[in-house]
Amino acid sequence: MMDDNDLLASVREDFSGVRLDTPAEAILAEGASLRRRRRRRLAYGSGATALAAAAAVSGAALMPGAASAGGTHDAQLAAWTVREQPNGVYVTLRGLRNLQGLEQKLRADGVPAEVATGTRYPAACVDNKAMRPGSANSIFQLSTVPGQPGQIAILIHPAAIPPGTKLLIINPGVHGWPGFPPVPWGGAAGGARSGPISPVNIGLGLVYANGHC
Amino acid sequence: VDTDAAAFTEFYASARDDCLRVVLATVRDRPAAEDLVAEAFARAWASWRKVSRHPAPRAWVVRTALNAHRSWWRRRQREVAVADAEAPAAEAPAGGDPLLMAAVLRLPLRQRQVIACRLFLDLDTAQTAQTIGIASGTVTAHLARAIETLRGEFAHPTFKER
Repeated sequence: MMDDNDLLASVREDFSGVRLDTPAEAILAEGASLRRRRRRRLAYGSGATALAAAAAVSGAALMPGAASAGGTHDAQLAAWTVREQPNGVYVTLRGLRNLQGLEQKLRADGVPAEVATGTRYPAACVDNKAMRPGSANSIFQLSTVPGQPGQIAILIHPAAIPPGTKLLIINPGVHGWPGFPPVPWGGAAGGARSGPISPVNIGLGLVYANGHC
Repeated sequence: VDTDAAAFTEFYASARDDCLRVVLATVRDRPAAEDLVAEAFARAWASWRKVSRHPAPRAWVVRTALNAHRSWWRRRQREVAVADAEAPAAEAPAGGDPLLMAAVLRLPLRQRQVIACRLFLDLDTAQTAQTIGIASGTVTAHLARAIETLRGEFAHPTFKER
């Protein structure tokens, strides 16, 4: 009869096909980026307490300066890329994984952002004024990536995000957007599929950055 | 720095698969587990001076990944009405015979975490308890129940054909 050690050995064998393929270089690059951001925060130091409090309230106004002070840096893991460019923050989406990491990276790069999954968001939270087409276009542009079918690119202008609001990137999950017209996405809702990796189907919007949204 | 990078790369190569297996056993979603573990390793590199001296660096990575998963999920549940908020169903990742793996993924959360920590990280009772955030006194009981359940699964006719 099989003893416990044999049983556990069999379990271990069954998991042998579970492997992490992310290259070490990508991990090292992202770790280095995290380290740079940490140093930058320390450089701003305790003397900036008042500024930090103000940034927490106004959201967009102070963060872009903090992000650009440390120079350009990229983060690239499997599902997405965030790159600081002279004309804004450029996001490429190949899949919708590690959404928390995407949100953190955007915030670190000066974009007050929330990355969410779901098919509903409180309509009262949407900044309808900022989401008028003319306004929205000055804040972000959504496009496909030339030569990369199924990928989505978003160019974000952090300085144009009105104080007190944040950029919402919302993915409806595998169920899509069943009967979801009420929230105005300013014509910016975008859909595409990222081919063999996973579906990329997102909505973009500006929502209030307060305790309720 | 080059020496550190070489040491980290060696650590990453030796630990990444086992850390992924433990996190997969917890979240039961392969893509999410991959991203959580990749992010946790990036954090490990960012804090390599501290992590390299940790008594169980693999456990540090797994705990970081699980903490990220917990905090993110809690926040999402609070802020967004998520249509598909149910935990993803256990799927059989590619590779190997998935029958016992699927049986592990069907175990209650603590049982599958404990057995994964024991199997893939070779942690003792105290380290296992610390990694997954439970009382050390309950680790042995969870492990015993997990093994008992798996033994029952193994006695199933499907397994006898193996």
